[in-house]
This record gives sequence, C-alpha cells and structure tokens, in this order.
Amino acid sequence: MIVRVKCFTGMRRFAPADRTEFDIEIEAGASVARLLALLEVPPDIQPIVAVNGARAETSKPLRDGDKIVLFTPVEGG
Amino acid sequence: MKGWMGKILRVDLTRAALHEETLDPLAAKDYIGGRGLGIYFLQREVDPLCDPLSADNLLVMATGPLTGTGAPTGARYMIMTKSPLTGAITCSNAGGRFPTELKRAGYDALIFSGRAARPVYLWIADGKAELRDAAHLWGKTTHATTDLLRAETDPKARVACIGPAGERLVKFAAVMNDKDRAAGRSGVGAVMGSKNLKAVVVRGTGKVPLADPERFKVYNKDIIERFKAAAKETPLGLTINGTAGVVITTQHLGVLPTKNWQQGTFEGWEQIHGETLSAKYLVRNKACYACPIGCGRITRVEDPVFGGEGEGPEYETIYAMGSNCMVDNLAAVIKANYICNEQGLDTITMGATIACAMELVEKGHLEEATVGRPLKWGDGEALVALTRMTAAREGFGDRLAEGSYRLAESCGHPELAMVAKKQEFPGYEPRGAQAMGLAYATSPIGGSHMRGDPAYFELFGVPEKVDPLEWRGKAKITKAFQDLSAIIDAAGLCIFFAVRNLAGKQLDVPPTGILEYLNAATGADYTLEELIQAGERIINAERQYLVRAGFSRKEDALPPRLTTEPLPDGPAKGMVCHLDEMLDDYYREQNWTADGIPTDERLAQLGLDTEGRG
Ligand code: SF4
Repeated sequence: MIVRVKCFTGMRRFAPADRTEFDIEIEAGASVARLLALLEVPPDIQPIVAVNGARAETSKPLRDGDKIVLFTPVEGG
Repeated sequence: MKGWMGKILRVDLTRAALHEETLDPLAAKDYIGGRGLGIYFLQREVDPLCDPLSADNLLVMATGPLTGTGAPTGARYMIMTKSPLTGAITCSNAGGRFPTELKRAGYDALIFSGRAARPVYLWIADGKAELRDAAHLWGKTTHATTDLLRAETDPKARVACIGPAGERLVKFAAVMNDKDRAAGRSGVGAVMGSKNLKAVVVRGTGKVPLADPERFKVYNKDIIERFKAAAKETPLGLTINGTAGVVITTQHLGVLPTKNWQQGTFEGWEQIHGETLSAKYLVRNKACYACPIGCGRITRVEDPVFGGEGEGPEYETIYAMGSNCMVDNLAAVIKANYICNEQGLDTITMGATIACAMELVEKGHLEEATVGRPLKWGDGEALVALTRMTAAREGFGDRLAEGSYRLAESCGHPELAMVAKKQEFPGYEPRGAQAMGLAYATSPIGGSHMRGDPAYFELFGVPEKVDPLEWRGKAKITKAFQDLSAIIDAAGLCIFFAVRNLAGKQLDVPPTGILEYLNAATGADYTLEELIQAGERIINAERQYLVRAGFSRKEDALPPRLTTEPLPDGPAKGMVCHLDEMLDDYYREQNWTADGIPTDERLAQLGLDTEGRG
C-alpha cells in the first residue's frame, strides 16, 4: 500500500532529500512504528504522530492512502 | 556589590527630582532582582487599592544580577507596577539590548513615582541622569521616537518607550524597547503614559562586575559548549522557526485556541505556521544580548494591502490574531503585529479582544453598526483596521482599548471574554492541557503562561512528558515551575534557555545551573535551598499583595467555557478543565488556606510579615 507522509521540524531530516511531503510504499497493515523504522528514525527520537489529522500512537496500523504527519514538539511562547 | 550594580535611580516625576539610592544587599539576596525587586518595592510603597493610572502608582524597571553579565540570555528586565487592566500586579519583561545598557550605565533598577506635569523622557549616560522635555515626541510611534531620541542623545543609546497607545492609556499598552521588543502585557505602557513619561534613553559603557570572573568563565564555557553540541545534533526549533513553530504542536495536540476558544484546532493552521513564516516572510533571525538561540524574526511582507517590514510575529500573536480570529492570512497577522509594535500595544490582548468582538457579533450581542464595519470570523482587513483604531481610541477602537472583559461586560456577556483576572490568555487551551488552566488561574497577572509554563511538561516533554489531559498530580509540578519562573525572571534570564539548560531534569526542576551562575556573578553564596526559597518568597509576596488588593480564590477563575463546555474537536475532544479540583491541591502545596490566602506560618517561613513584606 501507499501512504503519504509529511515531515515537520526535527523530523525533516528523515524525509527524502528536499521533500517534506512524499508517498512511500509499505506492506499492508504496517504500523506507524514500522513506518518510522523504514524512515530510519532512531528509537530515542519519539515524534508526535498524526494520522489523517488525529493524533496516533506508534502501534496504530496504517491503511492505504493514509496521510501521516510527523514532527517533534518545539517550544516557545 | 558584584553582579548587582548596587544602585537604584529614583525618579520623582511630580517634582522632577532624581536621586540615587544604594541597593540593600540583604534585599538583593532575598529577592534576587528583576521581578523580585519589583514586588519588594511595590509591597512597601504602593497601596494595593490605589488607582493604577494615578500618581500614587510606582513604575519599577528592574534588571537581574545576571543581566548584562554574558550569561546566556542574561538580557532581560522586568516592569512591575499595579496593572490598569487587571488591578493586580504586572510582570512584563523584555530582552533585547536596553536592559544590559541600563546596567552598564550603573543601575540595577529605575523607580518612577508621581506624574510629570508635561511629557518628559529620562536620559541616562553612564550614571548621569536628567529629565528632558518630550513634547516633540508625543504622538510619535515607538520607531520614530527611538530614532529621534538616538539622534538627539547618542546614536548608540538604547531606548524603551511608549507609543500613541500608551499616551492614550489603552489598558493593554506596551512598553517597547529596541523598537520591537515588548514588555507587552497588563498595560505597563498605560501606566507610563499616565505618568507623562514617554521614554527612557540609556547609554552605558561600564561593565557588570563579577564576583569570581574565573569561575563564571569556566562554567559559562561549559554551558555554551554543551548547548552548541546539542544544537548541532538536533537543530533547535526556536532558532529555525522562532516561537511561531509552536503552531504545529498546539494544532496536533488540539490546544490551538480557535474562534475565541470555541475550538481547539484550526483548519488553516498550515498557513499561519512557523514554517510558512520562514518560507514566505523571514528576512533573518534576531537575538537578544548574549543569546545563542535567536528566536526573534525580522520579516518583510510584499503585499498591496498588508505589506511592510518589521519584527514578528511570535506564536502568541499568531494564535491571538490568527486562529483565534480564524484569520489564515499570515500577512494580515504580521501587519497587525507591526502596527502593535509601532503603536505600542500588546498583541495577545489586542487579538483576543477582536476575537471576542467577533463572537459578540456572531451571537447577536453586538451590532456591526456599532463596530462601524463588518466583523466576521477570518476577516484580516478588519483585524488590521481595528488594531489601528484601538491605538488611536478612534470610534469602536475606544471600546476595544479597554480589553475583552470590559467590552464583553458592556455587551452583557462577560463570560465571552477569555480571561483570568481580566487578562487575556496566551495560546494554549486548558481543556487539552490541564495544568495550563491552573497556571492561568493562579498567575499573579491573570491570563499568562510565562509565570510558570506548564506547556514545557504537558506539550513539549521537558524535563519529561506528562499526560496533558490528566489533572491529578498537576498542582505540585505547576507550583515547581512557577517557583522556577520567579527565579528566572528575577535573575534576568530568558525562560527559553533557562528551563532546558539551567534547571534540573526532574519535574521539580531545581534551579541548579542558575545557582552556579548567580554565585559566580554575585558571590552571595546562595545554597540551593536559599535560591528555591527566594523564588517562593517572590511568589508569596506577590500573592499577599493581591490579597491586600482584594483578590482570593474567587478570582483564581477561568471562564465557564473552559470549565463546563466540553471541547468539541481535536485530540482533547470532550474534555473540560478540572480547575476546582486542581486548585484545592494547589493551595495545599502552597500552604495557603482553602480560599487561597497564604497562611501566617507560610509567610513567616519565608521571612515575610503578615502583609507579605520582608
Ligand atoms: S530565546 Fe529569544 S527571547 Fe529569549 S533571549 Fe534569545 S532571542 Fe531573546
């Protein structure tokens, strides 16, 4: 299946060169955690994940066509 | 004294008399500086029941012992006075270069009393001060005032001033320094305007003396090297996108206040996010004195309607004027921000008051005919036009100039003002970040997160991640963060650096790094306990001042929307803020009565009398 991934902030560097939004092929039923492994995100980096606009745990199984947003929180005020 | 300059300048504006005073070393140690010194003087000299815009109020501008020392982000000063917006105290601080210049000119603090008969400004050059006529500056913007004053004093002078909004006593007028840095909140600019004080201009070429320069240097080098190594590993979000980068976090945690807090997520968030700001409008970053982060944004907008150049916006401005008004046109938000900077207005209260007006119109409690123009959600042109009118108190702007609480109350619906103690909230929704609600309710200045910021542990995971939706156990951590922020504010540091780099990594965030800096700079030999106690002393002295002004538990409140209406959208959907339950815990943690009054025992432990003086 194919999912669409968008990386922000600290997750940018795990996206393919020069692209923040990209499609990626992944086996059917794979979880968010599997996607992170595929993008070679080290385990100590724990991004915030949203799937189709809703916050998701890394155990969440993905479906074909899902839109995934990955970012690390940034402070400010 | 070292670290401290040991001198305070008293400016009696009524008599046009100046005199220098020695800073009491015991008071300096007990209250540190900045915010601490501010409450020390307010407690002694300002009747908590006085009219904030009368000659009876004092305006204190106080630096901290680390301001101007070269400690990272040791750039700040605090303006404390009785607030015309809230009737409580202000704690408005800013960085930039002015505060360091003030110390280099020889002063820890300036204390303005009385009221000048005609507009004046204070000119300080290396320990010599005089009051000068400011008639020619009255009515001028903060930028024009700064340029004119540098031309007539010293091109290297640093300026803190008010704009037309402060002159017209807009209840949320700011004091702007170095043109675009704002001591923004609670109407400090109106107090300055009420005193006919247009500006403070400083040139200082001295140095801040350090007690142990070698110890300071070694520690400083270590801290900066560690900071740089970490930033190399993970580039700092604040440097890349400024505070505007917070939008993505609040949006995805469902705590981005939208439509006057009727929603917790905003469909147009990507258009107002920090990455959009960087891609479309950023000219360059800007840093305060001695800051390795550089979160400031110099921006330029090429647009026939909203074009301009200046500084900003910060996250808080983007929430208040963007999502909260449902304006997804970032150029309009930036334009309104520029106007606020030039006219001297607080962007948070400005945006939140316009959002409140939009809801009053939507619900039929306010006629567009009264506003004098259409006022629909998302109208960027209305945002800009009303901001201008507020600074001038022109037409409906005269009512906006009173802030959202007085506006909503005059329309018969005070519950639609999203405020605590009549001050508008910053951009974090307490239904999805419970401790934030507790921080807003108990902050001595009303709606603010900067006096103890739970976003760190609830949203950013610093020092560790805590479930934002859980309210149990939050009182203790919130108190610890409030105590820490009192120390940061008093020392003259910026919270963005200090929380991550100068505090312990446990949830009680002991101020270990600040301790080392303070002792090397001042030689005051603080123990960790003494420093933590100094933070608690500041919090309790402030609280007792509020008590004397008539505040208690009933003012530690949030609007019913946040405590009774479940959030309709986003990850925190269905939640309300459990304020009452958290308040009981919080007062217990503080050793205050169930009505929120510090007990005599607690005050005595901190060396304060029953009035909160020490
Ligand atoms: S982090 Fe930002 S506000 Fe703080 S000192 Fe640095 S530039 Fe100034």
